[in-house]
This record gives sequence, C-alpha cells and structure tokens, in this order.
Amino acid sequence: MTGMTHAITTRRAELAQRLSEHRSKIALLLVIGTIAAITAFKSEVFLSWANFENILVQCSIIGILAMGTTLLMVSGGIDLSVGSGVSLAGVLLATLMADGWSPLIAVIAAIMTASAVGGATGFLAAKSSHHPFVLTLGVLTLLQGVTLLVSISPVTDIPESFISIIDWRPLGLPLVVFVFGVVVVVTHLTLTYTALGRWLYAIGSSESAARLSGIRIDAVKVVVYAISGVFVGIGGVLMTAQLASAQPEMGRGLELAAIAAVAVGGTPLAGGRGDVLGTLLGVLLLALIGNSLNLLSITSSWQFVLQGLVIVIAVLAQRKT
Amino acid sequence: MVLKATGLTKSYGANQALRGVDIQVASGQIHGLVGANGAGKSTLVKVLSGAIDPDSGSITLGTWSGSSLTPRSAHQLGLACIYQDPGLAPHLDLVANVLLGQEATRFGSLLATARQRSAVTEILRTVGLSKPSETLAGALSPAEQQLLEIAKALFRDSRVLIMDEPTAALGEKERRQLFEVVRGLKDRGAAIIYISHHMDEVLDLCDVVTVMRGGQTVLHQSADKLDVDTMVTAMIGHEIAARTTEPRELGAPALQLRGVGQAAGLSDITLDLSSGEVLGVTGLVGSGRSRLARVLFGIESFERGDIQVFGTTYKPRHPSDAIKRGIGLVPEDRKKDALLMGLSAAKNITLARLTRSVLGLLNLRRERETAARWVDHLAVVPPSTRIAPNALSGGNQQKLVIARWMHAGSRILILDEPSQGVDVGARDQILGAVRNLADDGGAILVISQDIEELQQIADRVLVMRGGRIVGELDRQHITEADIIPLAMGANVQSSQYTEALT
Repeated sequence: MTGMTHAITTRRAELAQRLSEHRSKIALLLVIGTIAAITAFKSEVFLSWANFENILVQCSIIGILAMGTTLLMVSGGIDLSVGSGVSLAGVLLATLMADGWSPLIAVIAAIMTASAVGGATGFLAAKSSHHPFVLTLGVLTLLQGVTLLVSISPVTDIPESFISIIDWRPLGLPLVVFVFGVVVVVTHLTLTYTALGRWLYAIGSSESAARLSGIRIDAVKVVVYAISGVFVGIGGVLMTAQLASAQPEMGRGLELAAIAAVAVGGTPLAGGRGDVLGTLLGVLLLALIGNSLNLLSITSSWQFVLQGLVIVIAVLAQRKT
Repeated sequence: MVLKATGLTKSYGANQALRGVDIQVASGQIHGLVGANGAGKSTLVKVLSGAIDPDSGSITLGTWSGSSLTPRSAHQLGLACIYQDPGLAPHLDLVANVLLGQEATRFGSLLATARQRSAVTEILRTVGLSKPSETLAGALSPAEQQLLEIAKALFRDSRVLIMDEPTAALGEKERRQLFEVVRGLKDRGAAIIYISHHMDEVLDLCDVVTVMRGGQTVLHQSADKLDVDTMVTAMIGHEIAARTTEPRELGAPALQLRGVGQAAGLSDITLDLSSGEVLGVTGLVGSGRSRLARVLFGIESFERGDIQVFGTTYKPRHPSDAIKRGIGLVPEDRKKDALLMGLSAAKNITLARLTRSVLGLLNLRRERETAARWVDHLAVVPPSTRIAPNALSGGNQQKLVIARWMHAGSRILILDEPSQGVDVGARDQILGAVRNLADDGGAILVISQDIEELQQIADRVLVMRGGRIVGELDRQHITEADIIPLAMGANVQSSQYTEALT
C-alpha cells in the first residue's frame, strides 16, 4: 500500500467511526428540529423566549438527575433510587426548616444526606457481583420507607426566606435553569477532562481491563454514586422550593424519566459510551414533546404515548457496538 | 477395522497440517493418539468427524468407504466426538440431554416417551452416571458431564468414539471413574480414539498408540511395548536449530522471587529476572504459568514467600501496586482484560498513566500527541490515535496494549502469550519491540507455550508443571526436546533423544 492510499484509508476509517459515534445525536437534532418546526408553524407562542424558558424550567430537575445518571450509566452502573432520594432530601429539608433550622444549614444537610446515601449505594454496588439494577430497586423502596418515617404527611410549614430563592435569577436565568446549567458544565468537565471521567468510561468498557490498568474500581463506584447523590440532593432542594412544600411522593418516577433521557441520548445500559451533549438532547426532546402537545392543545394522554414511542425508537435506532 | 484412514493430507495455505496420515482402529480397542501442539491431532479429528475435507487420502468407516465425510454422515455411520468442554444444555435434565435432537415426536410434542426414558436410564447406568435422571446437566461435575456426553454417544449407537483430552478438567478419582467407563465401552466392542497429553494415562488405558509429529503418524505400536520416553522421543523428532543471537549483558536484578506459593496452585517459586533479560516461562495448561503472572500483578492473592522488585520488598494486593512498582502486564485475553474496545487508541494507550496538566485535569492534546508517537513507534495500522480497537486486527490491538505499558514507563513487563491471535507480520514486530525493550534495560517475563516464540526472544526459559518450576533451560536448550519432557514429566536427558534419533 502506498503512503497516499494508506493515509486515505486511515482518514476514511476515522470518519466512519466519528459518524457512527455521532449518528444518534444527528438523528436527535433532526427529530427535535422537526417537532419544533411543526409546533412553531401551528402556534406563535412556541418561538417566544418565555416559552423556551418554560421548557427549560420544566426539564431542569429531571436534567440534573439525568446528569448524575449519565455518569453512572457511562460506567455501566444505574441507580433506580434517585427519585426516592429526591423525596427524602426534600422531606428532610422541609422538616428541618419546620423544626427551626436555618435554611442554609438545612439545605447542606439535605444534600449531604443524599450524597451519603449515594455513596453507600455505590459501596454496595461495588461489593455486589451483579448489575446494580435490583440492588438499587431495593434502595428505592428503602428510601421511600425512610422518607415516610421522617414525615408521613406533606410538610408545608416552610419559611418564606427559603421559598423566595426560586425567584432568584442569576445571570438572568431562573434559579433551576442556572443550577441545571452549572451541573451540565460540571458533568461535562468531569467526563471529558478528569481522570475520574476516563475511569468511568474504562469501567463501563471492561471492568476487568480497567482493574488491570490499575484503576481502583470500588473507590470509583463509591465516588460516582456519591456525586450522583449530590445531584439528587440538589434536585430535592430545588423541587421543594418550586412546590413551596415537600411530600413523601414528590420524587416518584423521576429516576425513570432520567434514565429514559440518558438512554435516548445514546448512553447504552452496558456503559463505556455516552456523553453530556447526548443526555442534554434527550432531556430537551422529552420536555419538548410535552410542551408542543400542550401548545397544540392535544390531550396529555398522548404525551405519554409519544414520549414512550420516542424512547422505544431511540433505543432501537442506536448502534450496536 | 471399524475405522481406517490412509494417506490423509490437508494444508491451510502454505501450512501443511497433515502430510500423509495412516490410522487404523479396531473395534474393542482403545487407540491412543499423542503428539505435541501443532502435530496435527486436531486436524485429524476434524477430518475423521467430517468437519473438514482432506485434500487427499481415503477413509473407511464401517461399511462405508470414500474420500471425505460430512458431520452428518459421520454421525450416521456411528462416529461420535467427545470434546474437553461438553456441549450440553445446562438447563435440561439428563434424559433430555441424551435425547436432544432424537426425541420421538408424539402428537407433535417433543417430550420423551416412557420407553425412551427407560432406555436412557439404562444407558446412564451403563456409563456409571448414578445421579437421578431429573438432574439438570448444569449441576453435574465436569467428570459427570463427560459421562453424559458418552451416554449421548451410546444412545446414538456410536461404534467409534473420539475423546479429545477428556481428563483435562478432572481430578484423580473422577479420572479413574472415567477410565472404568471407557474400558467398559471397549468390552462392549466400541472403537475408541483417545487423545491425551498425559503419557502415563495413555500407557495405562490404551491398547495401541499412534504418535503424530509434523502432520504425520511417526509411530504405531501396541502400548505394552511402549514407554513414556519412547513416545516423547517420537513426538519431538529432530531438534530444531538453536537461535544464534549473542548473549547480552545483564543489568541489576529487577524481580526476585523466593519460595512464592499460593494454595490454589503455586508452590515454592524461586526465580530471578534481571534488567535487560527476557525470561521465558512455559508449561502445559494448568501448570501455573499464567497464575504466576496473575499473582505477580496483584490479580490473584499472594500468600507465601518473598518478592523483591528492584531490591525492595513487594507484596502485590492490587494491579495498581504492580503499576506503581513499574510492572506491566499484557494479559492472555486482551479483549477482555486489557482493551477498551469502543474507545480511541489514544485513550487505550494512556489509560495506565493519564496525561494530566497542572490542575490535575486531562490534557487531551498532549494525550493525542503522546499516543501518536507510540502508534508511530510500534507501527500500528491504520496509524491513527482515534480508531478504536474493535476496528483493528489482533496484532495491532496487541501493539496498543504494549504501548500502554511503554507509555506508563514499566520497567518490568509480563507478557502472557504475546503473539496469540496475532498474524505473522505483526508477530515479528511485537516480538521485536519486546526485544528492544529488553535491550533498553527492561526486564521481560514472557509466558508462552509457543516454543518457537520462546526461541525467538527468550534468553532463558523456566518450565513449570503442577504449580512448580521443574527446570531451567539456557538459550541453547530452548528446544522441544528439552522442554516437552520437563513439561510432561518424563525423566529423560535430552542426549538420549539424540541417541534415539541417530
């Protein structure tokens, strides 16, 4: 083979690989564009900044959880307990504030609790030889119970000073959107530019190869579940502020919405691949469907049908290797 | 003769696997088939069982005669193969496994009839499988699985059985049980071809022995006129010319083991490896050669003895301990244990030592540049840092793994079967790179059962058997004639072979 054809073959192989890596994102963008175009054509409200902000606010909390879930799924892990973690963090926060704790201390306590729960889940996941699916399903139920032990009824006695944080607009953005943005950036930096991020990809590709390259897998798992736990805590705090109350069922089902967004975004359950941009597109697409159907005055039952279809099609369309 | 083959030849490209094989097996006879790796035993089995067609030669099986069989016709003519890893259905019970594919259909259902059930139970008793017939195949011990395979063959009325290393996974007691059954089959008039690496076993069990070497049958003799030494001599044949490279200067001791042992299968391993040296370790499957690597690298538990790395005590607990001490491992199964199949070459190369900048963040540009140098240095094809291993050939994948440890600055490199699954061109490049590492002062431990590979790069070879080092061979004696008797446990001097051959 001459040098010239050699170089061309190499370029072609690289291009083919890049295309297949980004194929799902290109498809997602096309779908998002199509839905946006149809909705914009039928409804003039859609293209307003207010509506766009509305979409972002609606998807921020799920988005924050989805970022933690991205970290987990890249490493081949999963955590089904994030929804009930949100409930626990929210109810704990509200109860502490109702007991007269300062909001700042209560917020820190809630986030730290969620993070500790995540770390403990990570420890168990590291020690178990099975996929963490069933394990974290157990943690989900356990946290539901613990939340009910903290408070069986909704907690509404929340200081005004806390509820008002939802009106903060750092950089002109609603607080939840701002925090979501920070979490997106932190997650992206972690995955791309830190050793931890690289280790997550390595573990997701092959645990055995990762271990034989000197990676302390157990420690990495504890850390990544704890980071996801921090995001869960933040989600619980923001949701409590949004609702101006906390109730034991507030986080129900959020884990599935987060996992769906990550999966639609191209991260396989087996791990080793995936990124923040994909998850971001997944979160946006699912939120956009809800928003569009609302604006087009289509009954919300269709929302579930469509969202479900998108998840199914996205997963079927993903590349195998 | 139930089975007779004459003048069988078969070549794969330039490699002639069979060069005129003659074999005759009579009913009521156990026929031992022995030979070193690559002697052509497996090819012969494949030809006899119809899996591949020979280039020339003729086969007679029972009343049938012709030039080649198909798996189906071999089967119908009453020939069955029993492999080391039985192909059983683990979730089906014993009866269902025996009947698999032979079920009498009744009302369109595939359930065993009562008559079939009792026939199978009878056969299970014949082969000495005493478990209840509802037992699932997955719950059987390796020995019992072998027996179940034999039962399957009997149920199909097989008159010729080929058994390939049936005792490889068995303990002593199970082995005896299996021998009883095989002898029982012989008394019932079956013809059995028995393949094994264990010479004493062959002598004990077989009536006739055929030795293969280089694709030919070189010895055919009744077992009571044979001994281990004669068989091994026949297996080895002429000595291969020794390598001619000059001995090199050795540096300081890099790795010293004193009485290293482990309950699971290593005892009293003592060895010294110096900088600049390539030390080979060889032995049969199960001799402990790979286990030694796994213990040194902190994958398996290190229990007894003392290890010194560059003069300081080393107690491996985790691969990261090994890497900190400058040890790298190129594992046998690179796809599972080394490579990140879907991630770029650059990420694969830098995994054990990430390119971090001041803040501890990854410097992706430097990562690509560093990786590009290794890709260039080891001539990875295609020369790209972005391509993932799943698009590379075995040889180029292996280069990435070696590059990982060169990049990590490993001064002691352990390679387990480095050129397995690697094409010839890449093999020379890889062995050349390993050789260069040693010339630059690296200490190399090459674990291999490929004698040619050891001849090509090793300065010295240790032979292991049963978890122990049973011999050390210097460069002039890295030959089949020296290695095989040690690895197999025959008590002979290499000079005896030379005499026997002249």
